[in-house]
Amino acid sequence: MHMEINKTLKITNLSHCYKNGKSIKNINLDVFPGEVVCVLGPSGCGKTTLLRLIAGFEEPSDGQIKIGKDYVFGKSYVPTEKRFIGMLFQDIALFPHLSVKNNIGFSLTKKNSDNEKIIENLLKKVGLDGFLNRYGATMSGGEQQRVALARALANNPNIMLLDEPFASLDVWSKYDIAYDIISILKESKTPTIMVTHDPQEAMKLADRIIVMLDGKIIDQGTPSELYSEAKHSFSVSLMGPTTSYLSKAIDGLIKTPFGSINIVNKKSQGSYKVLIRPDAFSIASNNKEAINIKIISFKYIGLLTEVEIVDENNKDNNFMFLVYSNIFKNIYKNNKLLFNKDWAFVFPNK
Amino acid sequence: MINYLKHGWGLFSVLLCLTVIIPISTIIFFFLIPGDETWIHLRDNVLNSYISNSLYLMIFVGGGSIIIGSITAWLVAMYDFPFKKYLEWLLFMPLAIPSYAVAYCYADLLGYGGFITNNLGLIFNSNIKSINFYSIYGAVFVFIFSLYPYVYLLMRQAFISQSSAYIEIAKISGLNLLQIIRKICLPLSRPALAGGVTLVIMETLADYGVSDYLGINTFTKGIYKAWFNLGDITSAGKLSAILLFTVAIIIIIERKLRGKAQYNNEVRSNRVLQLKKLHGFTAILALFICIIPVIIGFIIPLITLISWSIESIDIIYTLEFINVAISSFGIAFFASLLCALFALIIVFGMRTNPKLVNPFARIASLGYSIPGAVAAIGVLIPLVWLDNTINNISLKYFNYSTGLIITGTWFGLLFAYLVRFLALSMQAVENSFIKISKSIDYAARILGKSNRKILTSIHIKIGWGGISLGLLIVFVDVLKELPATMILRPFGLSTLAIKAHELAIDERLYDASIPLLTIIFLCLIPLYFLTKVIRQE
Repeated sequence: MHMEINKTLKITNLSHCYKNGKSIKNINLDVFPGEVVCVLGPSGCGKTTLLRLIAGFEEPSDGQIKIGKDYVFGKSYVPTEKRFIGMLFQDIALFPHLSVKNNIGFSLTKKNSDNEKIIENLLKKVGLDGFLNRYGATMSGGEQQRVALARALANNPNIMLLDEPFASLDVWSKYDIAYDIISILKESKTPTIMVTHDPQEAMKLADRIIVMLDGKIIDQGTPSELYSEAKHSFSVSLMGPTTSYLSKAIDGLIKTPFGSINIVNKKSQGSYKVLIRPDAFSIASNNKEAINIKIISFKYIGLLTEVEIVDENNKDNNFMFLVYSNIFKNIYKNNKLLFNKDWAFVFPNK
Repeated sequence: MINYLKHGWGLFSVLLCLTVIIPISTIIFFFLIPGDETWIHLRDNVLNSYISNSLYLMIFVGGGSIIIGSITAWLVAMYDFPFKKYLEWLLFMPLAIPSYAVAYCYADLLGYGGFITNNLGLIFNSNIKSINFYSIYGAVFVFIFSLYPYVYLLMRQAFISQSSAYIEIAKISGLNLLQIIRKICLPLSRPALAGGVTLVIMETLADYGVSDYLGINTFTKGIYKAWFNLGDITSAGKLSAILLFTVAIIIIIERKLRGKAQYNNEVRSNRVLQLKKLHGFTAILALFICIIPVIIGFIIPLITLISWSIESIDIIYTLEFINVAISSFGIAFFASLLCALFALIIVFGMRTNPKLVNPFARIASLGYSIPGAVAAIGVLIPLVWLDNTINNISLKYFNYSTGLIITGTWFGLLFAYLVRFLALSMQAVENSFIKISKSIDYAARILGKSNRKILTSIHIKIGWGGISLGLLIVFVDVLKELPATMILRPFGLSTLAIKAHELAIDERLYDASIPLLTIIFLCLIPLYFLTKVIRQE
């Protein structure tokens, strides 16, 4: 079985349960040709399990996995070695006893004269011309990962799974390699799922991000959608810097040091958590809606500055929030700022 | 269909484990079978001496090995003194010499007209003509100086891996050297000590050559006698069951003593121990303490055997010796290959399907703690049953008696070696495979390779070094093995170990030296690899 037409991955109601109680529940996910989907979440949330289930290393307890037109799990079963999947691992996993040539040619079962040409072309594609007879141990991590990509592509995969493949690379070269790999995968129209715990990496590389928590998909969207319209407090915190403020709702209004925020359910009287992005603050100038603040202290932390102010709602405790450093000087000078409520995300405080 | 594809390899591995587990399990049933007259006779007359002798050996050999192994390990791990880098590996060299060879040497050297007794008389002007070495004291002496390296190796490793932070804290707290050893180093090394002394005791209990030569009644000797001299498999089985039970208790005690072994490595920082340089008298004392066990356990027996061999070198050219060497190498070669094959399949099964295979593999690997004689009886029982069944069927349907067609063949002997030594092969293969990242397996599987292909084209090739070391270790152990070979050998088959033992029993020690030196020479090869590992550390 080799499914080349319509390279789409479709996962329906996929569930799996480990003996230790950890599980993934009812995962539904489609990945389209050339699309890069990043699965983001903390350790133990089930993101690597999801990859292992797709690859066939583990058997789901329920659900269906369809690659192209064929079910590989659910209505029928296809073992790992016949799923035609490409995979890159965090520890790269080049076969140490084989040369680059033999690593790439590992899946080319038929010995024919074209094999050499295929391998050379793949090496050219990943930018490693002339590495044919080198061994893994003599190459950098980035070069090894490029060889691993060439090896995976030699199998002509229907989908590509990336299990934190850039985590072991140094920060200086990581994105150069990552962009190259992603562009090759996009060019070959291969649906790609990448697992990572690094939100920055996900935002830079993904077309779509899936956020997982406790074995469930809790949010998904493009990087910009998730940054500005996340539906879950965890995703809001994950996708960028926030300041958290706890308050109680009174008559549908939540008081914050920067004014009140309306909530949809006006009858609700519970406790709420407000997550405020630094984007919410801007320079007041002479705007009538400017808010006066009393700055007690501040700390410069690069792109952002941490500011401590008096909280008029709760004078016993000061409040700390984050603003962009480039506007802080003005705020500090005037003790005034503008607050955009669109960048404040309100969630019931459970 | 899905389950078969997923678990096929695992199920096959379990099946292989069971072939090894079954003979061990059959021994257990002998606890329940009522004994016949022979058993009652053995029970009433010799069982007490088996128990008391075995206990005596366990206590004194264990104690002596702890003292020698720990002190020498402490000295080489903590101090720098002249010739230390040579002593570090010389101290485990006694492992190359089988205990029974050490017994032959000292029985002769200390006997009437022996080299040591003669010279003692000259030096001290004493009237001692001989020292009676044919006693349990002689056996204790032999076992201590042959087996202390097990404690030495594990304790040395434990001392080296201890963080200097512990010792520094103890010094700051005002503890002196003895207090540091007693309160810090020994408790931290307890798992290693327990592991080392357990190996020593199990090797002592498994011995046949020393006890037979020195005339001491032990369980292994009793098992052999019950089967060969009395022809009573029930008594042999019952004795094996008691020995198996004793070994099980020792393993349980060892596990308890190990306790939470992992605490040993909790503060395993990069701050390795700084060796203290010894000078003058203390340096000479350390050198003296470390060199004595090497001289007694390795140098004296080796020189004695070499000097004997000069007298009997011609034996090498005899057809009999060549035949014995060929059959000995042949059976060791096939046994090591068989063990490696089983180990490769089982360990790979543990890797692909740990939940299913691991419990069976762990039980199968207990075989190494079972004395050779017990393994032999364990194998003998199902084989005799199989032979009898075949014979009965043949008699019933063809009116023809087949006799024993499996028992007493190479098959039975190889089977016993498999039961006894599979654990060694498994350990070697496991140590090789553990270094191969699981991602390598996944990468190969995802690239369309079957389990068999992954094993042959990746794991065996990457792990070849460790696998071949495992082959070598089993090869050497089979070459040295005595009790199981004596019980199960096909008629007319002799090995180097059996030949040496027979010649020694006939007091033809000079002739025995050639097969013994052949064994020792081959034993030095795996020890050479161990030396390399220690040097790399």
